[in-house]
Amino acid sequence: MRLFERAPRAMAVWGVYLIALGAVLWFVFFADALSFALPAAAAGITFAVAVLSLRPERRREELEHVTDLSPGTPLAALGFACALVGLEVGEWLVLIGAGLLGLALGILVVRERPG
Amino acid sequence: MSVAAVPTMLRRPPRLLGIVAGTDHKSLGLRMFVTAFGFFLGAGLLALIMRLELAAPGMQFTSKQGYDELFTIHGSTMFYLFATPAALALGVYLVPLQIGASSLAGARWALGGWWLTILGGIVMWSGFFTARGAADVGWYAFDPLSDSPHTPGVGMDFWIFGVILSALGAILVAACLLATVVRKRAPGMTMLRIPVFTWSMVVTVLMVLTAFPALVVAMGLLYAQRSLGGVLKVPGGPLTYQHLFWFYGHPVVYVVFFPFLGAVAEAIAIFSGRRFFGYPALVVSLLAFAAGSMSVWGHHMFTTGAISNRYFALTSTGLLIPAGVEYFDCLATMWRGVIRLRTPMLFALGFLAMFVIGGVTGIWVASPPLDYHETDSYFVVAHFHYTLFGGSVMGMFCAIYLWFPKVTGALLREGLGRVHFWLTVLGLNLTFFPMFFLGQDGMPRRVADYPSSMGWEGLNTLSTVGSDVVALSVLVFLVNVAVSLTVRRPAGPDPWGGHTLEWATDSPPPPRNFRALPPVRSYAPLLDLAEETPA
Ligand code: HEM
Repeated sequence: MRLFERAPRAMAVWGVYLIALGAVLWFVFFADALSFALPAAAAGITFAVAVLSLRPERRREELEHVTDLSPGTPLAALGFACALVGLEVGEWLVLIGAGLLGLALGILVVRERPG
Repeated sequence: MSVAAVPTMLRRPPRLLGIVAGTDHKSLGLRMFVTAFGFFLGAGLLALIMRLELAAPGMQFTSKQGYDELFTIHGSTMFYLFATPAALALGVYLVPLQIGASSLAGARWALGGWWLTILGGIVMWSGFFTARGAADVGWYAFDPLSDSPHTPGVGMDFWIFGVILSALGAILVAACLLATVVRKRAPGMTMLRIPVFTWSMVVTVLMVLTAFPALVVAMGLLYAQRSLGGVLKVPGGPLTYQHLFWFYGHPVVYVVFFPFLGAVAEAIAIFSGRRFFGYPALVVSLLAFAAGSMSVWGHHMFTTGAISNRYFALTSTGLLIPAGVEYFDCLATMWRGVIRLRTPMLFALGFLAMFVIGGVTGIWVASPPLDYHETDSYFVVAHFHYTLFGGSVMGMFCAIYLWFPKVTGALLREGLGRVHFWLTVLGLNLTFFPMFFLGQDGMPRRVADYPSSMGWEGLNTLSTVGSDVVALSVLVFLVNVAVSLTVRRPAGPDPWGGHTLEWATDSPPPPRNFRALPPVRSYAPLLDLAEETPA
């Protein structure tokens, strides 16, 4: 059980298990390459997340600067959605979406950057 | 008793702007949940229309094309816009509280995720207003049925965009939840002391992060196929789409199950007055179950003949072991407990009972020879609704009744809660149990009509009456919420005698969650305190 005591280890164990299941499918049941690639890719993501979470865990809750409002974020989501839907509706919507996205990123970087 | 005083800060944002752009995890979790519930009501309405159509042979209310749109948008909304977001919303509200954190890591990303999901829903549903109507090829949109020669019209493309947006939204929210658990746990809160519900969220978000990208890729390929052509028309192309889709499509069944199982486990421990039994076994089984569920996607493709049936039958049946452990843990927690049959506990027991039916019939269709008989029949419709309604929706109501007092500071009415519960059990079984017999008798799924000579009318009428009873039960629930919020019965910080940290703070919790945290020495810190305090 101690294996699961720390988050990165728990995730890595999970990734290994995924690889093992994929390997059985590949080597024992002779599956196609895609059937192996899918769990292998999932394991890859898991390992990446495990490595990212290796940074020392915070032991004390510090007073952080947290923005409690982020108007840039919904604007960014709206811009992205418009640009995507614009692929079907027309170039004009893609341009509006790109404009909104640019504006939103500007707001996020300039006004809402964590201090 | 307090080991860590946590500073309070943050002014409350202006109301409307707060709704649109607020990042406090509690308000965000609540907003996510309410929008998901709105989608549940919308998809439920579509289900009622379908059931009305099927009550008798002949076409009464819709056209065949219209019916196809109804089941597609019903199923898609239930998965992409209701069940997944609702499960994640519970995590956004509760995980920081349960681990003693003051906020959600990367809350702005989670806010973005919520907006992407809402926009995805709007785009998907707007297909109904296009010339050729909404998508009509089922919630998994297999190629070649979903390519542009077979399904022309922009409604199908809107469906693809809606799915992409909601999947990206879920990935963003999941990443924030995982980062919160990894980086923001209170002092003493080791991974083996995080509460059962939070563990269920950890495995859920692991599955979202690893399986949902396959869905985004599948949708990207499908869109490219529709607009450019040739992409999925290579040898094995349609199968590639199926592999990618089901690599997402099976784990999502557990994404919309585990968080509710976690809620049920918390309710069972609280209302049995006992520490959750077999915590280490539960942790291992959740991880094993989640990884296992990512190796069973091929069982949705048994009848293609293009996959290793033996492997996928083996892994699918193997899921029984961790599932059994989880069930056993829940039952053993109740054993010799002092059980209080309050509404959350009723829904927890209902969840266990109903999900067994879905689970047992799942073993049935995990066996290739039996699946060859049942595939694409109403048997399958009954099976997956027992897992999704009997499991996820029952579990969701358990979670609502359990944590409503924490979120709002008011208790829900017990009497109305009981009426809601019994109507749900009655309606659910009346709706879906007859479908097992219809399927066994050969009634195919995804049909708007059936010949009267088949003798299926009686069971179909019964099923339609059942769906009306379910609608009534939801109405009773909404009345309960309205009454309880209007004439409030104050809940206090801990109305149930909870075990985990969220019950150690005000209801609703203050902006930074805690004024002081109790020491954390196990996954049930408040129970530890209660046991230490002389009676
Ligand atoms: C009383 C509530 C409900 C009723 C009456 C109902 C009814 C139906 C009906 C009649 C179908 C069409 C079946 C077919 O021909 O294949 C269907 C499909 C479906 N339902 Fe429900 N349903 C309910 C709740 C739910 C819930 C809660 C979920 C998920 C959380 C759900 C998910 C689905 C899915 C995924 C499909 C398949 C759609 C497709 O074939 O593409 N349903 N439902």
